[in-house]
Amino acid sequence: MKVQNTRLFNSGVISVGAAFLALIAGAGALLADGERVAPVRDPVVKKECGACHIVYPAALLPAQSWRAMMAGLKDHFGDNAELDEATTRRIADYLVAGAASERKRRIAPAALRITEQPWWTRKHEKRGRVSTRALAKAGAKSKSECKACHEGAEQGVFEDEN
Amino acid sequence: MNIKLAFASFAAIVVVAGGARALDAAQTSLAQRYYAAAPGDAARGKTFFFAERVNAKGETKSCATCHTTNLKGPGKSAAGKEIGPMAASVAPKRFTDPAEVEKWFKRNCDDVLSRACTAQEKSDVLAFLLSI
Repeated sequence: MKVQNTRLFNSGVISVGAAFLALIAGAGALLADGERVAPVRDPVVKKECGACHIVYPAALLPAQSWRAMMAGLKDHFGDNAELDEATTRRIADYLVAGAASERKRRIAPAALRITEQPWWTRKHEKRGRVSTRALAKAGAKSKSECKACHEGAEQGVFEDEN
Repeated sequence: MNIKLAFASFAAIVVVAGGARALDAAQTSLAQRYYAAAPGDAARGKTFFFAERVNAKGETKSCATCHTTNLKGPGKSAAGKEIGPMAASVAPKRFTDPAEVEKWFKRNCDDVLSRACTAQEKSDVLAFLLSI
């Protein structure tokens, strides 16, 4: 009887341990999947980028995309977003320093839109998450409004999927 | 135009617009810089602000496209971000930084009119927004 109890106890410890390991592995997968990235901390980057749209974390685009975007602010997705030279350089340097690695899978260095990055379309479009209906339901005019679904987008948190 | 004359026309505009409210010192000095080049007219600025135009891309736009017709309330950028109110009476920090004002004139005139605004147009818009 006593022996049996000990066995039960041991198997309990093992299953708790296994669950814990699974949890860690799960968290690791999320991080590796890029669902939590560093938020923009530079006050100038926050102010200037955030004047017209959410402050997209630097890790959402590769360096080449940020460079091309910052070199073409006169036509920023159809709008003029020109800045003086010093501010442009400061923002470009910050974004490039925190950019996504171009060696990673599903990164398209030539695409300027986050929503045209292969990792993004894989996560959203194939699952119908940014269908016209889904966007309307979330109160977003376009799929560029991450915050409509990912409340913590500007803090680099993209885990709250709907 | 000398500064005294510019300031006199500025004061006259405020009185005409019925704005007894005192402007922030930085707003006054910024306005003076613009009015030195071309005295601002609030009524003309109002017409300019709400005039719809077709830009070079074929889009019909006015300043109110983003800033809305209630300038004491928030506007919304094309990307869906809230823009603070434009009326000086509710936005005391607006129109205090010359670089900031020029940055937005440059961008927004290009977006709405597909050209730079003239000194006269800028003064008029400024006079209008400072009067409400």
